[in-house]
Amino acid sequence: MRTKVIIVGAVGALAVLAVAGMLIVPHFSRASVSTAVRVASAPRSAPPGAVSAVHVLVSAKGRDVLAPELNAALGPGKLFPAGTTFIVQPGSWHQAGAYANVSGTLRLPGQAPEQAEIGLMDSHGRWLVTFEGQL
Amino acid sequence: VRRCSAAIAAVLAAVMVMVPTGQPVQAADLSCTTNQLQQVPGPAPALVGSVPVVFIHGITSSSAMWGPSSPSSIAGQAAKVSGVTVWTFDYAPESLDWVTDQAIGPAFARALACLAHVSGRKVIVVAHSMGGLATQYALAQSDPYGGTVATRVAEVVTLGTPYDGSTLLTVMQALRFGTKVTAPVDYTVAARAILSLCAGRTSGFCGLLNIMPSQVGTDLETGSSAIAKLPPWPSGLPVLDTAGDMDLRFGIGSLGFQVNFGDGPVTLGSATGHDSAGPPVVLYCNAVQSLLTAEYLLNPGPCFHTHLAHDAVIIAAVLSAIRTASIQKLNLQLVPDPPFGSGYTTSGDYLQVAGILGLATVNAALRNLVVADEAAIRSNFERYGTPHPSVGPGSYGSAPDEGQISASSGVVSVLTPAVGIYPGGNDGQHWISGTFLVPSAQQITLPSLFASQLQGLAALAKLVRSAVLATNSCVQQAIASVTAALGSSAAQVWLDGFNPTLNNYRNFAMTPAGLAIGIQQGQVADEACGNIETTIPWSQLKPYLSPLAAQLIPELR
Repeated sequence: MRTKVIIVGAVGALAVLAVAGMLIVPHFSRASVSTAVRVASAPRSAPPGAVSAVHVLVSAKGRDVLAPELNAALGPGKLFPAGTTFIVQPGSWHQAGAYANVSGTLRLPGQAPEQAEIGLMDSHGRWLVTFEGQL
Repeated sequence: VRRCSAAIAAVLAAVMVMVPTGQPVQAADLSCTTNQLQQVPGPAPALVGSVPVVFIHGITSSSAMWGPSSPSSIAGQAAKVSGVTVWTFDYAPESLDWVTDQAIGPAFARALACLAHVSGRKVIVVAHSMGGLATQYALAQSDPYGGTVATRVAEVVTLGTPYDGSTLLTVMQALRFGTKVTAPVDYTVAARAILSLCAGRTSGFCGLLNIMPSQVGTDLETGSSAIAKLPPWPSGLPVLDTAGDMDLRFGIGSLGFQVNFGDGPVTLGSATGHDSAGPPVVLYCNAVQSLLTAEYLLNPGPCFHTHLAHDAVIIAAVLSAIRTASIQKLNLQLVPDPPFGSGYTTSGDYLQVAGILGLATVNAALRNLVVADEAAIRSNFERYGTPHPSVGPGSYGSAPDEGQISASSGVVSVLTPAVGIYPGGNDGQHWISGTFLVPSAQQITLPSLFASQLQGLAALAKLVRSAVLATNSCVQQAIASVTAALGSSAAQVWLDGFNPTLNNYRNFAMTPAGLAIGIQQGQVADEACGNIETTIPWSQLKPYLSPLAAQLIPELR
């Protein structure tokens, strides 16, 4: 009986130590975690700068808000026809570090509206578009 | 956390093993099973004498990826391969550590050494992703039983192993830390898009983001020092690479471009970076360009890194490699025929095989071929009554011919000429034959070698008749003589011996050269022609063969 009590006690103490260890030992070994990718815990509203970038994207000046490499890779041409609109869906904003996405309704003139998603990146305080596609 | 937990677990384990007897528990000598190494249920549960096949997973994964409890999974199907035992090696708690971690490379090396030592056979490794690099590390470790672990391994099959690192991971790490990106611009753009779309998502491509903050996320970057420090692959060890390759159409508005992603995290070049067992097996998904969308990122299709182990093409390649690598040529031994009985001399030998453990059932079946043949002939002779005392003894003997034998750890097949002569008689030539799976000794019948018995047998009969009539001068002369003397209808009696019946082709052997057929003395020509044998190349029979035959032919040695 005494042996059992000691073992149970030892197991309990070790379990407490394990939990404490999990809480206090840093998991990531890389020095900088400021931009660590994380899953958004709850939907948030898109920052005004991001919403603005989305609206510019579907305008005639759409290429101004593209990430520079994306702008270069796409080659010449207009992104969207005049009159295209994108209405951001409230609560669809997800951000992980400097990268984020938001979804909403894309409406091209003369076409049925479709659900679309836009990827963005925070480049020195300015939101730039990295992606646009069907949701 | 992991180190702390491991230490606690070690203390707990030490306490727990002391409880029952007060003495440390001794590991069983014939078991390699550990918390990390578990056997997949299969028809050949005994490790001793089997070819061990070990599946090792990759980063942020576990042995569950192989579906060890599902008969239809890659591991479940492998466990059905004759003569193998299948194992999974798990390092899930450490799967965000580099392969040099004690619980990964070193522990895997010990597992390989144990399996080889206990089984007496070389091990086959099937590795996914970083599991291939863990294997590369393990192979160079010392084997406690002598030499290096590499000498205990027959072949390695890799699925999406990043031999040169992961380009996508490298680019995403550089973007994350703002360091210089060296990849092509379109790849960089795509990586940025993935980073954006993965905010709030965790599966598919987005699983990569779980790796990035860990040390192994750096170790797996292209050209990392960790990869460069791995020991070189042993020369001469067959390594078969399998990989996925997909193109993605990346669009915005009305514009777009195409990016080749390999299997996603691993480019085709990296996944096929070390292939020494013939051309790599590549699963292509480029025929229809997939559009990069959020939905696609979460469910990227069969060519994606983590889907490779579930694809039928990859599974077939892995199973084929296991079958081929697990096959070993057996040694042939001749044993004197059992005495036929009083009044007869017995002079021949029958075949036994050796070279691996677990052949008792097969050898019993081979011996039984002769025992049954002797019994049948003895029974036949009894009908003749008691031989006249003035005549000499009868005789019996069988004489295996190496050209009509194949013997491997997968299948043993023999076509043996034999002769049984009644005292004072003659013309007792006939054939003994049998084809058996190893180690079960399940007998393979001729119909089972054909997809359609009717068509297969008809094709075989036609080929045998053509071959014998074209090459056997005794048969040619016999047919010509009887035709000239008695007409073609008389010759037809002999030609009927070629008819496509199971009885006419009951004596056969599967050999590497083809299907050897034994035609009984007197079956297609007069007795003077004796036993006749011809071998039909497998290439001529190919259109008629069953899946079983297709599976067995590569196993013939």
